[in-house]
Amino acid sequence: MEKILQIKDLNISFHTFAGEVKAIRGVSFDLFKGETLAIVGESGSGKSVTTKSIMRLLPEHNSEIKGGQVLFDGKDLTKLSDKQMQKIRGKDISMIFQDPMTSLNPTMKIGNQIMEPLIKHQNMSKGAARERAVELLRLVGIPKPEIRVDQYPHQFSGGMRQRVVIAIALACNPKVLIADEPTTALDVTIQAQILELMKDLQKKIDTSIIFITHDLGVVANVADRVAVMYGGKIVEVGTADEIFYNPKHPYTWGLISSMPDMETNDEELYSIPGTPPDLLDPPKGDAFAPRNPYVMKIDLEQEPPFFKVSDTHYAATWLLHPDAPKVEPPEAVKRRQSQFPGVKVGK
Amino acid sequence: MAKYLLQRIVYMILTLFIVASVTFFLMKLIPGTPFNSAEKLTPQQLHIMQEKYGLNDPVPIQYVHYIANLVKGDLGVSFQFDNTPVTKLLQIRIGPSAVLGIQAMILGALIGIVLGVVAALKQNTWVDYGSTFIAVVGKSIPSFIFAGLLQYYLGVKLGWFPVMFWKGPEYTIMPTIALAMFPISITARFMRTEMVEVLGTEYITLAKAKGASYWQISVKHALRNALIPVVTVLGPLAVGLMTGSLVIENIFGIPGIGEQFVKAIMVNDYPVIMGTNILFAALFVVIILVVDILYGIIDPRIRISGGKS
Repeated sequence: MEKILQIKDLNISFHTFAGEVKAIRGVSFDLFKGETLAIVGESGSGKSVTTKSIMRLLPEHNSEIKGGQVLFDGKDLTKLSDKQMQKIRGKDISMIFQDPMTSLNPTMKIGNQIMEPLIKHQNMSKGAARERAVELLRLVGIPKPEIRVDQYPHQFSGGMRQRVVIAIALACNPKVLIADEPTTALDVTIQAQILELMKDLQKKIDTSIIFITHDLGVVANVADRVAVMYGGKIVEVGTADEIFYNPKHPYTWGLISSMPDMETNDEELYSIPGTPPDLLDPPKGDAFAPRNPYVMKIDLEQEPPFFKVSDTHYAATWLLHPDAPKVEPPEAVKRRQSQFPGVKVGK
Repeated sequence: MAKYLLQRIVYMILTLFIVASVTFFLMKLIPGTPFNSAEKLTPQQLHIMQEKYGLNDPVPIQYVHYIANLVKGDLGVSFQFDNTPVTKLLQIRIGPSAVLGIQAMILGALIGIVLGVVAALKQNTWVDYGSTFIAVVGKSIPSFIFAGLLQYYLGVKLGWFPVMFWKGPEYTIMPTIALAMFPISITARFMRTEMVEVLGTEYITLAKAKGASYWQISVKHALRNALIPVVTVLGPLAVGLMTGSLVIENIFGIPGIGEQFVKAIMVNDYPVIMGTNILFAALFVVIILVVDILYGIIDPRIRISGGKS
C-alpha cells in the first residue's frame, strides 16, 4: 500500500497567558492511498489540532510546531513557505469543517465559492469554472444546480450547505481530504446521507480521507482504520475491526463500553470517570493513568511505548507488556471480542 | 423593490411631519420674541411687529398656519435677514456645509477603513497600536484644536494652504482634515473590531483551506462582511457632518449652515430655526434610506427579506 501522507513525531504547542499548552505530544501516523482513517477521541484530545496542522491552518500568533514532520509528496509541509502551502491547500489536500452554517461566506454566491479553487489551482476560465461548479453541485446531489449556483448560503439548509462544502473540498480532486467532524452539526438522517455521499465520492475520485469524529457509530460506518487519541497522543491504532472487536488500550475499552449496542440491557451506560489531563502540565507516565481502573505503578512513572498486537494494530499501554498481569476487559468489550474476527465493520 | 421604496417614502414624510410639529412647539417654549434685543421698541411698536408676523395669534393657530405653508413648500421669511425667504437662506448656506461634510466623510471613511483593516490584519503589532493611537487621539481631541494646529502649522508657518475663508477648492482642505478626524477614529475602531471578528470565522479558515492568498482572504472574503455594521455607523455620522460643524465653520470663516442655525436660535428667528431643523431631519431620513439600500447591496440576506416586504 502506498503511503500518501506521513506524520512523524509531531509536537505542537499553544502559547497562552497561563503558559505553554502542549496540545500534541509526539503524534505519528501514516495515511495510505484510498483509505479512510478515523481519528477518534474526546474533546481536547488533539484531533483537530493534528489535522489543522497538516494544512497549516492553526492560528499563527499563538501556535507553534515544536517538532516533527508532515511528509506529503516528498515534501515536509511544516517547512514550506506560505506561498508554497497555498498551492497545496485546496488542490492536493482539502478540508471539510464541522459547522456548515458558519463555514460558507454569507455574502458570496455559492458558485463563486466553488469556483475559487478551480480558478486558482487549475487555471480555469470563469466560464469553465462555472460549468464545473454546476457539475460539482450535481455530483454532491443538489437539485437544480443551474439555479442553485447563483444563490447565497442562507438559501440552503444545513445538510445542503455541507454538500456545498464537500463540493468545494472535492473541486480539484484532492489526494487527501480531511473531514473535521463533518456530520456533528447535522441531524441523524442528514448525517447518514452525508456519510453515504462521502463514501460514494471517495470511490469516484480515489481520495484518502482523514475523518475526525467523537462518534464511534460514524467510525464504524466509514473507517478502514482507526487511531484513538488521548491527551495529545495516539494511544491505539488498528483496523476498524481490530479497534471495535479487539481493543487493547483501557481508554479504548472505556470508549467502547460507553457506546450502547444491541446487547446493552437496562444497566446504566458506562462513562469514563474523571477529566482529561491538563496539557499545560502533562502528567508524567501514561496520561490516562489517573482515570484508568487498571492502573499500575509503572503507568504513573513511565510513558508506555507502542506494543505490537498485529501488523496493523498497536497500542500504547503497559498492560501489553509481557510482565504485566492479565486483566479482564469490561463486559461490553468481552462481548465484542467474542465476535472477533467473525463480524466485519466498515466497508 | 418599488413597493418597498414607496412605503419607505411615506414613512419618511410622516417622520418629517412629526419632527416639524415637535420642533414647532418646543421652539415656542423659548422665552422672548424676535424683536426684544437691540431695537429698543416701545410696547406698542412691538405689538405691531408681532401682529404683522402673526405672533399674537394663539400657538395652535400659528401651528396650523405654519404647517399649511410648509405643505406648499413655503418656510416663511427670516426676521433677522431682511425678510429673506428661509428657503433662499438655506440654499445659500447649505452649499459650503455640504461640500465640507461630504469631503470630510469620504476622507474619514476611507482612511478609517484602511486603518481599521490594517490594524486587524496586523493584530497586536505596532501597526495595530499605532492605528489605535490615531483613533484615540482623533476621538478625544476636539476638532477646534486640530483646526488651530492646522491653521498655525500648515497655514501660517508653512503657508501650504489658505488659513481661512471660503473662496475655492484649496480653502476646503484644512477644514476637511480637521472635520475628518472624528469619522476617521470612529470608522477605524469599528472596522478593526468587525474585521477581527470576521477573520476569526470558519468561512475565513475555509477560504484559507481553499488555497486563497492573504490578499484574497482579506479583501474578497473579510472586508465585505466586516463592512456591514460599519455602514450603520457611517450613515448618521454623515448627516452630522453634512449639516455643518458650527465650530469648524466659525474657525475657518465658512459661510455654512451651522453658524446660521445657532445665530437664529439666539435671536428667536423662528422660521430659520424651523427651516434648518426640517432640513436636517430630511437629510437624516434620506441618509437612513440610503444606508438601508446599501445594506442590501452588501449583504444578500437583507436584500432578500427587503424584496419581499
